Amino acid sequence: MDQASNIDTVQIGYEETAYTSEQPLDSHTLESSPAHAEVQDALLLANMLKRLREQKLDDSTARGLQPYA
Amino acid sequence: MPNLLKKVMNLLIGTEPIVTDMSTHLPKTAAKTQKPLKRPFKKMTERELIQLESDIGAQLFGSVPKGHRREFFNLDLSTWIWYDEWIDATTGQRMNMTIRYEVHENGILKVQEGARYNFIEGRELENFMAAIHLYYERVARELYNTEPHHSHPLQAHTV
Repeated sequence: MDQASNIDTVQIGYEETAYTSEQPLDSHTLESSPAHAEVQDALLLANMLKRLREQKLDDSTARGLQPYA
Repeated sequence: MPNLLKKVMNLLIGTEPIVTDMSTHLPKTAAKTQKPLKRPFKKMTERELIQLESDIGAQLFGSVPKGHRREFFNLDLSTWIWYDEWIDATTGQRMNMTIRYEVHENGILKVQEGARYNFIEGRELENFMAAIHLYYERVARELYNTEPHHSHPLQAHTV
């Protein structure tokens, strides 16, 4: 097992890009949680991924084509 | 939870019937480059999209060593999966490791085999957050051909 590949130890370069307003999910609003910001962030990213998938699947269905080949 | 487990195993192992090696029927150039066949009348499934996302996700942590198989993908709104598979050099046995990251209201729970689980923090949490940001950015651009929108950037994730 390549230990260096584990997410615990790997270093990832990340370039910050522009901020656009997106409302966090209403059901997750624990102000006192130490990881509150991370939780909100993770939920938001997953939600945006879900939308991208749904949009792609809708497009695929509408056109009857495979959009990524 | 059984449904989640079934979905993960379905993504990692697959349930589609095994087909014979079609590479022998492909033009030499196609077989050489291993480009996917164009299937103009086939609709995509969510599973296929997640697999394509995982192909990108696996690259986020550097090159995958020879003989290793890696998957990293977003399964649903609250679950991220890390999967690694390799051959043990001493025993020759196929090994694998699955880590599930669950987004809970009070943190990111790391769930490993053997009923090991803990909320990640510190550097590990920073790395995880950086990884999922990068995952989103890359799949948005490379798979969905759109510019990613961004959530509120965290100070800890800036380099």
